[in-house]
Amino acid sequence: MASEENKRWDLGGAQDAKRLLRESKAHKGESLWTDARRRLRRNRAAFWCLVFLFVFALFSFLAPLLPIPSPKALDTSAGTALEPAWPWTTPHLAGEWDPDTFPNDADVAPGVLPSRAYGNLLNDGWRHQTVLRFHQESADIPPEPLLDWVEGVAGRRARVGSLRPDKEGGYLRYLCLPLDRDDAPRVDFEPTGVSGELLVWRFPLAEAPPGRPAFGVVYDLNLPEGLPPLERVGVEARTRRIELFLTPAERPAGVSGMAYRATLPRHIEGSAALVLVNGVGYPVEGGPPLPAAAAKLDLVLAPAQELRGIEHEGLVDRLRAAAPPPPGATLEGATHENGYWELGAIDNWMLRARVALFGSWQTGNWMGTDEKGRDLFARIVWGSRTSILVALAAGACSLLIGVIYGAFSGLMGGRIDNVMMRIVDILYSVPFIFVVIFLITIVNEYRTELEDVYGIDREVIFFIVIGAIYWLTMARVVRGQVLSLKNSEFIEAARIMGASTPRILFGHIVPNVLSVVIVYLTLTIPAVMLFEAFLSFLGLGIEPPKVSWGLLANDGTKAINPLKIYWWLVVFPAAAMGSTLLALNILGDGLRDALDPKLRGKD
Amino acid sequence: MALLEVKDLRVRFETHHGTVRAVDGVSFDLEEGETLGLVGESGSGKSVTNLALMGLIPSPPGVVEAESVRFKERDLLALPPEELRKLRGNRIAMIFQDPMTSLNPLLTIGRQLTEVLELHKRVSRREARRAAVAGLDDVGIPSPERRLKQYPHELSGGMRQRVMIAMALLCKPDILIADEPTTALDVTIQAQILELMRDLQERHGTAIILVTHDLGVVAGMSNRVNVMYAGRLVESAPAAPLFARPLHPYTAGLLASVPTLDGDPEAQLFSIPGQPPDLAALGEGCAFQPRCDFAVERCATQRPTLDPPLAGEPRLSACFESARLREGFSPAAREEKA
Repeated sequence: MASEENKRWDLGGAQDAKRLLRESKAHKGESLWTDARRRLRRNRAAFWCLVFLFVFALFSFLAPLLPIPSPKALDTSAGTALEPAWPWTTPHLAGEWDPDTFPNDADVAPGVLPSRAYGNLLNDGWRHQTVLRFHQESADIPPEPLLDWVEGVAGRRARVGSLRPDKEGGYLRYLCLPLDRDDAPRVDFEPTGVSGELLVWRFPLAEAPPGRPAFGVVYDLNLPEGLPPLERVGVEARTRRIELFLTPAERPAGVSGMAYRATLPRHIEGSAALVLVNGVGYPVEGGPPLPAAAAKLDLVLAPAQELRGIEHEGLVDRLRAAAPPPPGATLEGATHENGYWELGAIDNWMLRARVALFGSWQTGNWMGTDEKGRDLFARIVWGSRTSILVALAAGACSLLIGVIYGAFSGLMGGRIDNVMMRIVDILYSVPFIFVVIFLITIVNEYRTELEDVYGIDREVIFFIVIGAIYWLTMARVVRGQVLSLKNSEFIEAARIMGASTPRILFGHIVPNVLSVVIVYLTLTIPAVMLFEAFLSFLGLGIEPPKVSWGLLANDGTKAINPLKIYWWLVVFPAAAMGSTLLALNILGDGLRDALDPKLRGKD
Repeated sequence: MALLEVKDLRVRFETHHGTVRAVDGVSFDLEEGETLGLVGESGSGKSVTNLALMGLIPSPPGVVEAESVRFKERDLLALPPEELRKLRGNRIAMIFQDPMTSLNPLLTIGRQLTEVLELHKRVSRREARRAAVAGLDDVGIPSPERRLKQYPHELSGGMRQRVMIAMALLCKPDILIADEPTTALDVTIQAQILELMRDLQERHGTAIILVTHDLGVVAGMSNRVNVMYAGRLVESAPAAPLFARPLHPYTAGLLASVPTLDGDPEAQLFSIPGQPPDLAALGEGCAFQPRCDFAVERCATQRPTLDPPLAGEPRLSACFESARLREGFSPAAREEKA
């Protein structure tokens, strides 16, 4: 009877209490961070936003690896922007690209553009090839002997391109050496243990042979005694590729060289006697004699397959030095075509990995194209790289400079605070748009010099400007917070406990400001993305053919007109940007809640 | 030789409105294990005195001068800042009025407790933790291990004040400055905290400077009481005689304004007339003179020194008319006069 009575009045309170007790027991003793992580995971929206942003960032980082068209591959054959072609409607290339059956040899030439349905390495944006130009007097000369000659020297399959009249009354015959599957990095070629340094033996200039000095990369090499000391030369940040120049005489048959190229760092003068690549050594013709001890190096010459890739300039050198081409044709020159802009080492590596993984297969225009025929999906993915980079730069600036500057200023107070804040005011009052215009003008004027010597181009200017602006507000916000915190009793208590100023600053004040900082950061990042878009809109930011979300938005607004609405040009970039900004905001909110210890152990 | 000897301590702040003499010639000694009460209304310079002792007066605008401030034979004012920092929290500790805001809300109790040890003693993390547990246990906090992992907002006010006391005592300091330690607590907790402080003092032999405006607390705790007014010491005496017979009109006024159980429930509570003076515009004479019922002519022009009212008496008073006070003073008499 009594138990029934109890049951009737039991509204589950006891259960609730038990659960609460259990949970609170489980959460006692968690560090703030564990707790924050747990609570963030509990906050569904924020958690999924975090996942979304993570996936998004991963996607944009892996852009070269994805089998998507090149973001700068033009195709004006349609004459208009093409609607999204959903995967199930577009015929995509089935199977592999077979070079022997691939049609349209005649079309494969610079500026000759693709057939859309068959995405492949040769004709779509993923063009990564060396194009050789031969001058010939008449149109009747068959291309086959030329092809044989090139293949013989290059040690790889070449393709015949188109024949066009040139200005001097002759003809230009194009031949292409495309990057193919074999050029993908192999296991034994993988640069494991790369030190990031260039090792050269340096000799006085007088002893150097005429012509180009050669040098190479050495990866983890045990050197025998007696060799002149290796000089480690830091590779400048701008030196992305290291070029290996091999003259034909000592080039082992079949070795087509290395894909790493670089301009010689300016401070290296002289010449090397020996080039070492991956522990494989090549003596340099005309170089200083090898020291006797070099014999102990046990030099191995690599078999042909181990060193593959298009070695563009080296190839031209080799062709020039080789037996003369078949009669009637002379080698005019060569260009290296790349479906992208200049990519860094990691991106190049990913590009090769992509070839190894997907071959010539690539997606169709799932999100349509813009009016120049560039794939929108590819442009969104590649554009997100710029936006994310800009956001990261601004975030890092406001975090590092803004927080430290603001906290220091607020804590010091008095005259120091006054001076520091006036500096911020002055920077605030600078009209940055004018500064940007001014700087961009200068960069354009001294373009080559600035880019070559100092590595300053538009993007660098862009980052400098963002770095200069985006910590200002953060500094003010943090200073205000610190001012109000500074006189709070626990700071006084810390001081009285004998804590030093840096300790008070970083141990007590900064953590208390952090929630505000995080919320402000989540506001800063969208603002920066918009600023980037604005500058790109003015033509001061990212330059075509490079792409950013700002440019895409700009293109989208242009594409809306009364005659035809190219909705995909607006919808997809806007969706990408909007979802990212929304996710950032929700995540910021969630983080603020998660980092508040007062909500600890609650949901 | 006393533990702490303060001679002629002066603190002034150079502000836009002129020089504010927040502490003006304060001298006192503190013996080992002694409790010194420091009483006075708000703005009388109690807290500034303590901050000056710890070298925490911001400069500018503050200027600290003294004939000498000797702690264990070392001149605190001459110590380099780094040395002084090592002394703070280690040899001289302090607890605050408001336990609600004196703990960093973002750090666990354990983290804040061990921070003191980290700053001053070379101990491993485990040892620091053990010491923190012992410290919490010392101040009567149940299940201290669990508390270490909690955040300040998870504790009640009394608990937090205990934590503050534990933190202050962790390095076994020679002097504990308690700046109104019980003001923000309710009466029962007040009693517990005071009891705790007395108990700890007996065990560790710590000298306490008890700053308060609660005369009841002072009466119960202190061996000696200093009364401050307008940055000056006006009376200094052992607790019992001071409460029995104040020899400065200000002390008398303070005592008169304490509500008593045996007083007339209908009568209005006494308050000292007038306002505390502007410290930037003090005249020549006694600072209390404008509010004083005992003031005579010379009070306005001449500043009384802090002297024993009778030769050989173990107390000091800065009043020309202390003899009249001794003769007899009661709030009632004053009421009649008014």
